[in-house]
Amino acid sequence: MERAVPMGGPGGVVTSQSPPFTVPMRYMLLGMAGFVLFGIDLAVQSFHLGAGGAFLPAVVALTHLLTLGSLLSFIMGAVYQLATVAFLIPIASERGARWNFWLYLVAVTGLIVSMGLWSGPGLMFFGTLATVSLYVYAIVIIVSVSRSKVRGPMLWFVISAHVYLMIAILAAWLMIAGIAGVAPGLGNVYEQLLGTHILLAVGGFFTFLVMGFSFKLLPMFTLSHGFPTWRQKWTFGLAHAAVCLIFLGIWLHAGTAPGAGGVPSGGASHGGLSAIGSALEGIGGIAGVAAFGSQLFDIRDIFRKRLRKKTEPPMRAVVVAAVGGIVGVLLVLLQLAVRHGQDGWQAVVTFYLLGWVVLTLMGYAYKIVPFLIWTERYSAKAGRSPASGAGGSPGASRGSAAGAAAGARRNAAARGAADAGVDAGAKRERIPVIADLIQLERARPVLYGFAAGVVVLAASSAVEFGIGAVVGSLVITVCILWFVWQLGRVVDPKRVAKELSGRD
Amino acid sequence: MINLDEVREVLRQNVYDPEIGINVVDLGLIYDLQEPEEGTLYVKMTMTTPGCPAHDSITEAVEWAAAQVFGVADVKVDVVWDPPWSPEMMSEEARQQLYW
Repeated sequence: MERAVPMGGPGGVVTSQSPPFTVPMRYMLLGMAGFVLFGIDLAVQSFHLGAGGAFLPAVVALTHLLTLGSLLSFIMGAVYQLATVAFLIPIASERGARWNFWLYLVAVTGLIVSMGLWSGPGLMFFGTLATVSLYVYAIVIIVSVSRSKVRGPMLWFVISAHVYLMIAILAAWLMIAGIAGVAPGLGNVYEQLLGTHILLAVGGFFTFLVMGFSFKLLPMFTLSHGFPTWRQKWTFGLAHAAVCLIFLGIWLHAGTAPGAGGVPSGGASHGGLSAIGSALEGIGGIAGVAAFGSQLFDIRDIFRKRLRKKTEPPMRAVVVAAVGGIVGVLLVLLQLAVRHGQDGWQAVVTFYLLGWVVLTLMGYAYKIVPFLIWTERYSAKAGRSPASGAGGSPGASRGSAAGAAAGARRNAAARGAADAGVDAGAKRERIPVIADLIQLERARPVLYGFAAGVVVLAASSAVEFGIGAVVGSLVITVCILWFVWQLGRVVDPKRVAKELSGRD
Repeated sequence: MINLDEVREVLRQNVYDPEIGINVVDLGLIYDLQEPEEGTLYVKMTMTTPGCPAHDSITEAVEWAAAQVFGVADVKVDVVWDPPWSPEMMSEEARQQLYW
């Protein structure tokens, strides 16, 4: 790579690969707003969660406020940014990504409201819009990363995740079609469609995406080099085996289960196919445990080889979340063994989704969001005045040399400013580094409090302990609001609103 | 004639990896500085990892900072991956900052 002339300019460095700041940031801000609403609604609905109300319209809406309104929205923004970095490719359709945001916003808002009201026509209309929007997203990402020269497990994970997402959405759309009366025959396999939807969305899309990008993000944020990578393909194969076997198990129950109303059906001991289905689910669960175990060994190796010996709380939380993932799959196995019905599945899905997926994303968000903001606001100024880290960082206290350098800068300042059209006064501004934007130590109580709340909520849901569910939910709510407040200070809503307005 | 020591010091003072918070010189990212012809500065450097999200930001910053040194009329930054960056390339101060 070679450049002859300093470029840059207002609004941050725009690379040849990265999408404009507005593309990822809009999705991420929507995700953070959705997270706030989820936190508040969780507190409101907490009484239902301790009373087996997983299928109440309000709780279904709450769940999708988290998955669609927050997680998927944040993930779409992050993936549009990270894919360019991890795979060294531009987004296949930046315009598609930009306009799809508005379609997604309308679709998801309408869909969640329709869920709360349990409106068949609303579900059908907005569900179809959401399906179109998510397919646009998945196809843009699959096409983009498929063009990359970067090959290997990370690419396989990301592509698999989006294929699973598309199938999970198809299952959801078919369920909606059944509910809305468009395809009433689908009612016979409603449980299988529901099980498929949850399995492929949570165990397929979210899990594969988090695992895949973790192979890039964890080493990057811990500055880890020289760790072994041979195990990654085993993690990939085992994770696929887990999803596919459980998927087969779910569908082998079709027509044989009495309809317990849970996720993979209970009461599956009738009939040969159903017995095989149960066995496949169990083997799939074991493969899932092995996949998470393999991933944990990889994480251990990454941390052993890290150069940043002082591990930041968000990265510790990512490790805790990975342990949560393996515990979640063990709980799936336990649930398959004891068949604790709807309460059991509610507890398992709650624990897995919040304890593994959400906690991991919260940890990464503490690193990704400040980086995006720094890039937008300060990267164009970097190198033109001393970084704020110069006060306490290596090389900062070289008095005479620094003085000489400062003199040289002064001599050239006028020329440099004139060449670039930059106000010479800006050269005296001290440029922060990312650590100046957010004190990551303050993430510790937020993340650990959140994890504790998840354990309390999930355990209370399993045994229908109402007070416990309320307490766990309230702890989670406080931590979510605290988390968004911390990132909100970095983002600065007024400033980001100006940065986003008129740039599409 | 460009004072290459001065360039190195300017980079040490001004150009930081924003994520790690250590300057590019102490991180060992600057492999070579040369003046192949009068007024032209050639900077051979690397990143801590291929696909570093701060790649463009850091190279832009190196170009800008180096251009401030007296005698520099043109800057060419060449980002290379061979040899790959390794922790041994860091200065003692940088290692201490990373508790390494």
